[in-house]
Amino acid sequence: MTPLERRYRLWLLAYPGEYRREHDEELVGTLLEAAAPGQEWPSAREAGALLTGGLRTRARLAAASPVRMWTDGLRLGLIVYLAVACVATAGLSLHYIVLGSSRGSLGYPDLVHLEAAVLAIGVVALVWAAYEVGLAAMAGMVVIQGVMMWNDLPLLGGPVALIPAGLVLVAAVVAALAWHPSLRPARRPWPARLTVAALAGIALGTLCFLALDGVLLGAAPAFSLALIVAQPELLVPAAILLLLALLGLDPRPALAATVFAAAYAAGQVQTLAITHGPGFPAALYAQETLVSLATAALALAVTVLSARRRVPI
Amino acid sequence: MREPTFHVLAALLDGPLHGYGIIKHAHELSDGRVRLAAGTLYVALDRLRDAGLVEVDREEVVEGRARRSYRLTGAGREALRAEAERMAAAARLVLGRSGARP
Repeated sequence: MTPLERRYRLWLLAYPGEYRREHDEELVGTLLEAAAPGQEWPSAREAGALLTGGLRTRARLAAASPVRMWTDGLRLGLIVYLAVACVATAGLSLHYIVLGSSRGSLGYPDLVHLEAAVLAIGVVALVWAAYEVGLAAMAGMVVIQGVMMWNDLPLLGGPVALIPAGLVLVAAVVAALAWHPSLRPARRPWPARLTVAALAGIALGTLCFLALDGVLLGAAPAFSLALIVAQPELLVPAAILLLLALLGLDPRPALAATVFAAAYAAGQVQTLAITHGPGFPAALYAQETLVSLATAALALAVTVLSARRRVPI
Repeated sequence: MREPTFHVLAALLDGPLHGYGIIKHAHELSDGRVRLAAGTLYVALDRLRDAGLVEVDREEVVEGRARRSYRLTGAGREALRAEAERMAAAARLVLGRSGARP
């Protein structure tokens, strides 16, 4: 296999496996015939067309079943939400490990380590469509967060704070997927390779999170404030999902962005509504909440428009 | 109809062609203006097959690789003609009028 063929085959991973099994030899043959003599790297134009072609082929095959658009989109949104939560928690967990510090009387760092592990289990469970395991992980999360917030309860206006709204929203969607037989995929549609990709994504995200944390510590206050309000942990995943939806003419990543941003915003609305006390930066928190609500609304609009749009021949 | 789709159908008007054959013929027919990327070509071919405008003519193995040739169906020929007539009508709206002369 020539280096060019190997590189083309890498780009062909944008196509779904079921399509590659039948068409990859034909596609590789055409790509190699169209290549210039001595060419070693795919041109940017050819690579871009393979990426777009792969995404559009995924959308075309999924469009054969309307239920699949819902299940894939919801599941991807849940995975992204839990993965982002896992990144933030793993970052905090690493902080505690490196600094060796301790806070509170309930072994707070231990709870953070546990929370990161449970979130990672939740992500892997949803990748494999093992909804019962996913639900158990989320129930575990609610308990862990309840214990963590117990000390702050006087500030939080009652036990309602112990039920995290974002997580409850996510768990409700998982329960719906688990409960209805028609929503449950007949087989595990995503391979083990995706589990590795999800975990690698979490590890990479955690490194970015820590780097960003370092930037925030050293940056000018105005820049730090702007970055806190913009919430890259919300906007970056949402922007990637919306870009995938627009490139692939696929409503599923847009639906995923909607679920992710809505669950994220739900948690913030809850915190804003119930937290009191002199130390709580309510105005800043309100700005953050507005950004996440606007992101959810934009994602919903893209979902509706892309689901309605008929792709021309 | 998307532009790449139109050029794929136009290339197949002269007879069945395989993937690279379509790319090459579309390039020649357009005097080098149209350069279809393989990714774009196969998205168009898949949609055209779904719509019944193109079908597989022949499957063969060339130098150890599967290769498919595609041909226009009757419906494909009709759709191409309708699209070309629509474009000609659009062109007539402009060309030949005094305001469009350079």
